[in-house]
Amino acid sequence: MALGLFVLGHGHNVGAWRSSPSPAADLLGLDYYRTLAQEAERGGLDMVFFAEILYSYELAGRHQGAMAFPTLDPMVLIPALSRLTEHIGFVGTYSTTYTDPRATALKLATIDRLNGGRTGWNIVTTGADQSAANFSRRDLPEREARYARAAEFVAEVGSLWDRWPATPQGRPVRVQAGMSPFGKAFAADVAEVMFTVARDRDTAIAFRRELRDLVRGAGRDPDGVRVMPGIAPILGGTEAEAREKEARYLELLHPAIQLAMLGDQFGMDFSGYALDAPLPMDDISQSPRVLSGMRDPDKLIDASCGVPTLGDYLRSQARVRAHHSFVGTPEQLADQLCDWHSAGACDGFNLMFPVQAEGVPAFVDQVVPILRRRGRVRSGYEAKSLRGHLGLPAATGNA
Amino acid sequence: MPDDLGSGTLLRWVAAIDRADRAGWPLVMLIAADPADPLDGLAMAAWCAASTTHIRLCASIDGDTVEPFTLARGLATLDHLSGGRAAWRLTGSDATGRVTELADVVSRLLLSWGAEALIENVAAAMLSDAEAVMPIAHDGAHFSLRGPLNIPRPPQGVPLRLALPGDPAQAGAVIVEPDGARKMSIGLVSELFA
Ligand SMILES: Cc1cc2nc3c(=O)[nH]c(=O)nc-3n(C[C@H](O)[C@H](O)[C@H](O)COP(=O)(O)O)c2cc1C
Repeated sequence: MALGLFVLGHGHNVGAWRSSPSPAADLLGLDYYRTLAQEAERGGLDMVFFAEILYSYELAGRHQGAMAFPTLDPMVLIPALSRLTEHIGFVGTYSTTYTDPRATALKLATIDRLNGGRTGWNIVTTGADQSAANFSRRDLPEREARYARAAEFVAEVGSLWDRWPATPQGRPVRVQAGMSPFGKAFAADVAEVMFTVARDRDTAIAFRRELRDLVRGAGRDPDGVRVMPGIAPILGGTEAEAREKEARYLELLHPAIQLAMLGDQFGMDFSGYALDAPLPMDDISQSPRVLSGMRDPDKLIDASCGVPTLGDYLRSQARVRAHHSFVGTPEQLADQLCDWHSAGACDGFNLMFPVQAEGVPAFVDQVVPILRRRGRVRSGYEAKSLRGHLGLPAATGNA
Repeated sequence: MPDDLGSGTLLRWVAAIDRADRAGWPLVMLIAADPADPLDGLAMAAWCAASTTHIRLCASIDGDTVEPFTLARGLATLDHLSGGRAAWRLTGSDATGRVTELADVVSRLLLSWGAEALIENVAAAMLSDAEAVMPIAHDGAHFSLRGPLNIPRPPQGVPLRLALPGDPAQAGAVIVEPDGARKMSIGLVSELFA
């Protein structure tokens, strides 16, 4: 099965930075990322993935100090990490809405030549409207227009690559992560890897089937596409230990962090509201992100229980994660990964550890050996390129 | 790595830069001399940063097309990862003043986090000080952007900016004389250390 490590700050728990003795030095130096990439390589993973965020967490001009600052530039981080690893692939995100096709083509080609064909590109249209203000745009273009631009962009990048010296993979691996109808249609045309959000096995099976049909409809071979849902594992020697760890991770989400997250979602400052009063629905319905149609305030309320207090709402949110989460033992996780894989729910997984410094070595030491015994994960790298690791066909066609 | 995949020349240059670092060279300017075989300077510099310890790595940037927020993110990342060894040079026409405005906006983005902004207060869950990170609210002829950058201030603040004679946006840059420039071009480094 395909396995990627999604590195985001200290982890996918937004408070994960609080578990590090030196959070800023980790996030800004090479050592922290080097350790994660080398661990992933020790575990025989296919790739390490980095997101791109193009705005700082800020509300009405005021910086949100509780949020870990987001990502470094993946197209600078990846070449540095490539130098410090030998086999593992790297996927970097670069926006088709806010970057220039020539610059992007140049970055990807240079990196793929340097690391000998271990490069992939997560092609995103950047749905965060806050980014527009950092790129001399008044508004985020509509989704349909963004995906139309993405298709042109990919074609322009491809024609530039045709004119420059050949790169080791022919084409870096194309990754896509948007699940809207426009996102799926775009994926059907161009994606070789699709990162998805799957709440459970049955929806994942249905989604993969639908996507494979779309890929076939677009005239491509569905076996040339890897569908990789995100999973957020929390491991313990026993189930009870794993639950304790989950509780410890929840403690990392200090109320200041949860308020900042909610503020970022709605474009509204919640810090002045009482935690024990009901959610301020009138004010929320006037928040920038609701007025722009990006957020639906009704989704905050469970019809059967009425309007929760702000504090109760934050507590419930801290538990719910959009991506599939897992709490249990290494054997249980290995069983679940194999079960999803065998059932056709996916071709592999995008691993999103809540606290990476703990989760990555635990996975490599405890889960990978089981997956290796079951023949699902390689013991050593046979292929040289990311395309080879993923078993994808040689690059052809439109990008 | 086989040469026919386009990596051979690149890796010979990289080996030359590693040798230049060990020999105590202060700086290498990465210039792709062949327009038919272009290179991304920031990616090259980052690859070299991981294997060198002292040499400064100067990336040439096409100032006619890059967005200031993108360039500021790339430079800030390189400067952090290299421990303050990033340098940059802008190329382009500047007929409309775009490159000059770009240099200014990028510099302000790089300084949008105060030097003391990272407070790392675990108990209060405050990684950074809200008062020390400021939007730049730039509104100019070519760019209007809010900021701040989403990367804290790099070790050098604004990394060293170089300009060759004839380059745009000379104001604020360290001008490199033709001789020195040629000595620092990647082609010459590889000849000297071949
Ligand atoms: C695993 C994963 C990673 C993503 N990474 C990024 C990213 O780095 N930058 C970004 O702007 N969007 C990212 N996205 C968002 C998607 O590209 C997409 O915009 C979003 O899922 C909404 O789908 P839609 O564009 O089809 O509406 C990511 C999504 C997923 C599931």
